[in-house]
Amino acid sequence: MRTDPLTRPQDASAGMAPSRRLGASVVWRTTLLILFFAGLVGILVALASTVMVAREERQRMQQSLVELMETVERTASVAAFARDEQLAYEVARGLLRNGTVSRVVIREGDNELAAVGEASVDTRTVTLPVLTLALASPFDPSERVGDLQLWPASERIDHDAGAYSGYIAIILLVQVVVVVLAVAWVVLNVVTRPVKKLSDDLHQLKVGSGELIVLPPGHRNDEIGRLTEDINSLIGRTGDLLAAERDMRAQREESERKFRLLFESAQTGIFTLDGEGVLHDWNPWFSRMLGLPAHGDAARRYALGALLGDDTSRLDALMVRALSDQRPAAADFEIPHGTAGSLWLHLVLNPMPGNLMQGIVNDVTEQKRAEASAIAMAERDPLTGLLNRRGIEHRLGDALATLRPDTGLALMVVDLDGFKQVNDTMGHDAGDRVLVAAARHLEAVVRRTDLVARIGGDEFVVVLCALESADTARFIASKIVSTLARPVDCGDGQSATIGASVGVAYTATPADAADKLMRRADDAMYEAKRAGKSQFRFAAGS
Amino acid sequence: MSRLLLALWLALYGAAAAAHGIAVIVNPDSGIDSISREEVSHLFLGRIKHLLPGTPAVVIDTLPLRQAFYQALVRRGLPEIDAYWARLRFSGRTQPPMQIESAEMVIERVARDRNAIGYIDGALVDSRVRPVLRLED
Repeated sequence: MRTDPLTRPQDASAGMAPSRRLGASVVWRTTLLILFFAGLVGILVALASTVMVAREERQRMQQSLVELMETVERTASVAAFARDEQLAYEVARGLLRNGTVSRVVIREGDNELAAVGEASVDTRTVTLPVLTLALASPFDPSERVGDLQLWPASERIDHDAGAYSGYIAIILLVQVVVVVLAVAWVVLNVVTRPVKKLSDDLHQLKVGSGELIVLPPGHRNDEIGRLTEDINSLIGRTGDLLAAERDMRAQREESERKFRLLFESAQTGIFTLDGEGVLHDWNPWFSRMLGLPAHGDAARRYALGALLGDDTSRLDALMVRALSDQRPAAADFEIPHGTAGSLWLHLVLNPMPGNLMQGIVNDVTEQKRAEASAIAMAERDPLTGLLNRRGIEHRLGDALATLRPDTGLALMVVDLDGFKQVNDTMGHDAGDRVLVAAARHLEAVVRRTDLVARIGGDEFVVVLCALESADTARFIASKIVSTLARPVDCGDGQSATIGASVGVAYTATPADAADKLMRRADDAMYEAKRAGKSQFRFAAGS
Repeated sequence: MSRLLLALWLALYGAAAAAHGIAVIVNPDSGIDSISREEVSHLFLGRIKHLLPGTPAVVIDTLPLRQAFYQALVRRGLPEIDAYWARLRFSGRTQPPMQIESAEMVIERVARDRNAIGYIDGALVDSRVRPVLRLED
């Protein structure tokens, strides 16, 4: 498994319409917003200033007209006082030369001394009021001698004021545009560009590759610099975390591999089992041992009980014990295996959470065999391979206990005659050979199910099981006597002739005690000895 | 020297005239018995151009008395009066009064012309002219 860099959502702007990308870009958005608002403000200011400037300009022009009238007032007064049309006309003409004046009238009382120009009748513009200046006598300020009346040229004034205010508005707009562009440029280069660059760098960064974001130049000591440093430290920490996670994962994989190896190659069966005795998981050793496929498959359910051939529900009892006591429970199971007999498995069940059990199976066939052979050794005579005293006592008890009705059991005590002489004259090896040969003869005479034992130096015991009558015992006893009377090869081309005295005790009663039976057979054997050896005697009551 | 003497004389004469007041005189045949001070000022400042209907008035300043006369008549100094006339003169419509050196010549001029009006020292009025207004300081 490879550690991929953190997956990201697809770049949202890729392959989109430019308009969407404009909206998605902080650079464009800030620029457009600045341009928009500043442009709006500029236009509003220009409009307001246009109106205000026009009004101001109109007032200023009116004021200048008033001043103009005041300039000629004295002369006009003189003209009115002297009723001098010529002078009045000159004054009026002089006034009319100003473009913002459309008509001038100078009166002396009700008499028009001079009237020049035409009153404009342009309905489109706001007609400015007619300006009237009272003309006083040059010699008596309190005496009114006439009027000076002046009609402003409204359309001309409007036009001039409009032109002037338009000029002002253009200057303002130019100023606004310049300021806006400057602000936009500054914001763009000082804030949004670096931010966008940060964003782009961060977006293209491969986390965990050790790359860091480049600090935008000139932003070392401001917030953008701090943001960059913070992002870099975050990236570093993320990288460390990723590396740590990678290491941990590698470690985990390593240990998993080790465990898997242990699990796979263990010379022990390892498995899990549910409360119903169904196998969930197992290792190769287990599958080899119990002839399962290497891996479980959902379609087939394998019950452990069936695999173990457990027909006495010992496994169920074991499972109940493990799950109810919540303690490991163990038992040995013997299962038929091939032709070579049986396989012994030692099973341990460990309870796990969730009504599950973890199990371990070990092949204990060898130990069992060793144990059995140890037991056998303990119950056998090493020289002849026959049962020894303990072995025959052990088995005799069993044979008596399992004695079926209408059947009998015969116990024979066989004592070799003249063995001591062979031992003394021909040596221990010869004696041993005689004993082994006697043992083989005894085994040859009886059935496989019968028991043969050597319980002393030259004393043997034969137990005949499942006899229908004492006659069979009689026949076998005579056969033993005749067989052991033959010469025995002692090696080195020598042979020895010995015999056997046999005492037989017969019983059909299971309750009979083994030791009593033994004593009766023993007594019968001594009787046979006393009767001259190489013969058998039945114990009394048999 | 003579200038200085003339100025001195003028001042003394003016002062003497002031003592008797200044008499506005017309031709006895003009049919005018009296005239208001306003009418006199309007005549002498060109506002009224006729003494009698039909013919323009002949208005005469007596040079030595000019300052005193206008001062008494409209409370103005000569520079202002001259500035006033300077304004009117270029139009050619309104003529300033003719200026005569002595009272005697004024009297002769007024006695000769029915449309004439002038002024002299009140003390010099005789039967050749008719005083119609006396101006006191």
